[in-house]
Amino acid sequence: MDDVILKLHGMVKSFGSTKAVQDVSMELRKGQVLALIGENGSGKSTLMSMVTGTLQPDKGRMELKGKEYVPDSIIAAGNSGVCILIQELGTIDGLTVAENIFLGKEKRFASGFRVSSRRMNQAADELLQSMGVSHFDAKTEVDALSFEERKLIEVCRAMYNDPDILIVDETTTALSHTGREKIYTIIENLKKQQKAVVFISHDLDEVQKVCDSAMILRDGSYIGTLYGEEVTPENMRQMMIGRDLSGNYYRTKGTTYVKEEVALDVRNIQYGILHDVSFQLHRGEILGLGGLTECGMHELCKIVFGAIKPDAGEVELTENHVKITSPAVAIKNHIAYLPKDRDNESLFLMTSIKDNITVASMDRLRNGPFITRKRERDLADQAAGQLSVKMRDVEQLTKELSGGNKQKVVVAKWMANESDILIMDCPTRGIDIGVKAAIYKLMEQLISEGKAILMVSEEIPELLGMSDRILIMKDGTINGEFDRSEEVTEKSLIEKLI
Amino acid sequence: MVIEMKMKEAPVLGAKGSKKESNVLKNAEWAKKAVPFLGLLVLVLLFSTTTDGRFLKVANLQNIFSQAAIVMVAGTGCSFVMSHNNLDFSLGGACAMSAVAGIVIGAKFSYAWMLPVCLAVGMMCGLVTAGLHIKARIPAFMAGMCIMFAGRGLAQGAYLQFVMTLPQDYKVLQNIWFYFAVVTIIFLTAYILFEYTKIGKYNKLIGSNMQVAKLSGVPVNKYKAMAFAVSGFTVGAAAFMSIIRGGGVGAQTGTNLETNVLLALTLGGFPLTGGSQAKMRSVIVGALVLFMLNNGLQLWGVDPTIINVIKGIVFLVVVYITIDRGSGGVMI
Repeated sequence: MDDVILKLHGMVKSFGSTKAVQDVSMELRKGQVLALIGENGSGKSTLMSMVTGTLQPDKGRMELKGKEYVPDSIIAAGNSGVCILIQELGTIDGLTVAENIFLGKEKRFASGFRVSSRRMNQAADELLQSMGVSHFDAKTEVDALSFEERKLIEVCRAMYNDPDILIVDETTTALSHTGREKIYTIIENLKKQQKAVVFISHDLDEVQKVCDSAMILRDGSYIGTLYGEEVTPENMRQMMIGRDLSGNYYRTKGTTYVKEEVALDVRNIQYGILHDVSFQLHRGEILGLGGLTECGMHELCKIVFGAIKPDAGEVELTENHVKITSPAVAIKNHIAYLPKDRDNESLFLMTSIKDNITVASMDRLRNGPFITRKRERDLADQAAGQLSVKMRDVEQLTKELSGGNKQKVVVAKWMANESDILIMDCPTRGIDIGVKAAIYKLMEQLISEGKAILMVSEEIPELLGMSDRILIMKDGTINGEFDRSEEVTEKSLIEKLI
Repeated sequence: MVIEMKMKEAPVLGAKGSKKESNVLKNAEWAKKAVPFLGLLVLVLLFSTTTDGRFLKVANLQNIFSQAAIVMVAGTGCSFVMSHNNLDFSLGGACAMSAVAGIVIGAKFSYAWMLPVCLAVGMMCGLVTAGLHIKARIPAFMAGMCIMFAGRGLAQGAYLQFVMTLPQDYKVLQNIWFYFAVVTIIFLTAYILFEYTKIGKYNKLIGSNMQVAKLSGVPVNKYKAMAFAVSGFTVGAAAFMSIIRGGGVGAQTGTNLETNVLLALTLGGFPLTGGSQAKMRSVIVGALVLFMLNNGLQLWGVDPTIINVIKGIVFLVVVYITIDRGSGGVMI
């Protein structure tokens, strides 16, 4: 058939004893927006890495526009018209926006040995304009830009290549509402131009909105494909998990464990864009904190934990009037912090699961000055067991775990320290439904024991589904407060958010 | 738009093939760990069979060990610094300073003061490096280098000012069992600190990822400073050993100590960027490899300048085999 752009035949890839992708075939047509979904470790990213040339398949064959396709690098794939937007950051500090967009293509602006930065900036500005970006220009250094703005630069870079196939690998999880909308528009345009898009996301509502078809993988194997009307969160969920999962894995409405007693008092915080932020966290409460990525909520988490010193204001533990001034003080008082950026801020990747779990509990493990292997192992075994982390044993390196299991290790670390107050920054970011549900269940159990949770989330359904009370932040101030009730809707939250 | 996708039932991949691959991977990891030990073994076999038995003579082996002992002692302390991903370049200078202070005060008051003064001055040097690094935010190797130059200058100046020879009574310590006892005591103590207390554990975790360590409640600066203090303490001990070994302090006391320690740690498989994979045994194995290589080549009659070239090449090969490129973040 003529309109097939990409054909994969029996792709196989193993890492050691793990079969990441087992005999998966697929066809991608012009104008198709295909979602590739599955739990963490189901093989989505591995499959796409083979398509973009970053991994070489063990078996299988690919055809691009009817021709044999064997990319040996991401650059070769790009030259053949296959571009990818990756999950993590792909821009280089110290270069300008234009230099980042035309990375490796400077030759086009060269005359003799000199690269004309004037012509390069001009071309970049045109590109930015076509994307509807106006608040920064080609000459800006990327260091000055936010995560989201940098992501847009990557999009520009991909679009400049005029790809036939664009792969969007969980890019949107890191973006706020407006950033996502931009990506959606681009996808829509590509579709109109009869190009094809492969969209990888954990957000099934988003998939339903953006994609016209969805291919499901489970444990590296092909499970099936849904088309048009069939692409619903319920259908996808069922095929991903392989069993019926009731649509609602959030808390049931109407249950509350909130007590009068205040656990943590945050007063008049002033830092960066944060302006006079105050709130109280009660025992037995999940306090949801939502907003756009740059609204200051992530910094606020770090301040509450003592990792950033605010210019003014203070965080006080109500029980004993201790001021939280450093992570060490926070941890001593059983406060836990789960950062948004797991790989860089919450886990020692090249270190054993055991060391990751015990790091915050050393003082409890100490016998005089000594910490024995056995006590460490016992604590790690117990905490990892409680969270049912999928692993060989606690001596396994953390980097070998899937995203969901990594997050379980982070939670296990704080459970091991008997944390009483938990600050969770995007606790389910990039995590599959199975682990997500487990974390939600654990959160509910914790508040039923009288613990308190501050949950920052960029997912509005999550805020609505889990919080007893929701604070919405905008440009560094609290812009709205909602109690848990049926009347609060996504719309009312978004109004306060933008 | 018609959209269609083909599916196939996935046959289970031959379990045999994948098992083989995982074994290969495990073997590669294992081989990396074994390289230092194999190197040591190869050197021993090579030199014992090609030097007409001169290498294996007791006097020669004692000579190797007494040279290596100073590096082993300084290296055990330095490994705390290296495990949190810093290099301590102050060692040579700090050693010279401690030795000068020790023997000068010893001569003036009583030689019983020599050891405590060496240890105290060594530790002070470590704390000064730490202070410059942590409080003034100067890269640790720069701060260390300043101390190295200062120490060198001081030792040379003192050499012209004072007579720094050890009295005859202390020469009984010029004995292999003395070196052996010092190495054993320092190594065992450091090993326990490194593996079973917060000092070692936290420093390794800081080397793995400083940000995560901070957010896990590790008082990063405090434990970095402690690492430098431990390093300074062992340098003091090394200074005492060099006084004994050299029968006093000369203008050359402590020369090249920092490079020898760095070479020994690396040859022993200690990760250059620190972290949880760091093992204390690297110091012992590495120091033996370094001085056996030196000694063996000398016995072969190789020109000393060529020996340095060969050491450079061996060092490069070992780093090439053992370095962890994963954390280097090489781009596509």
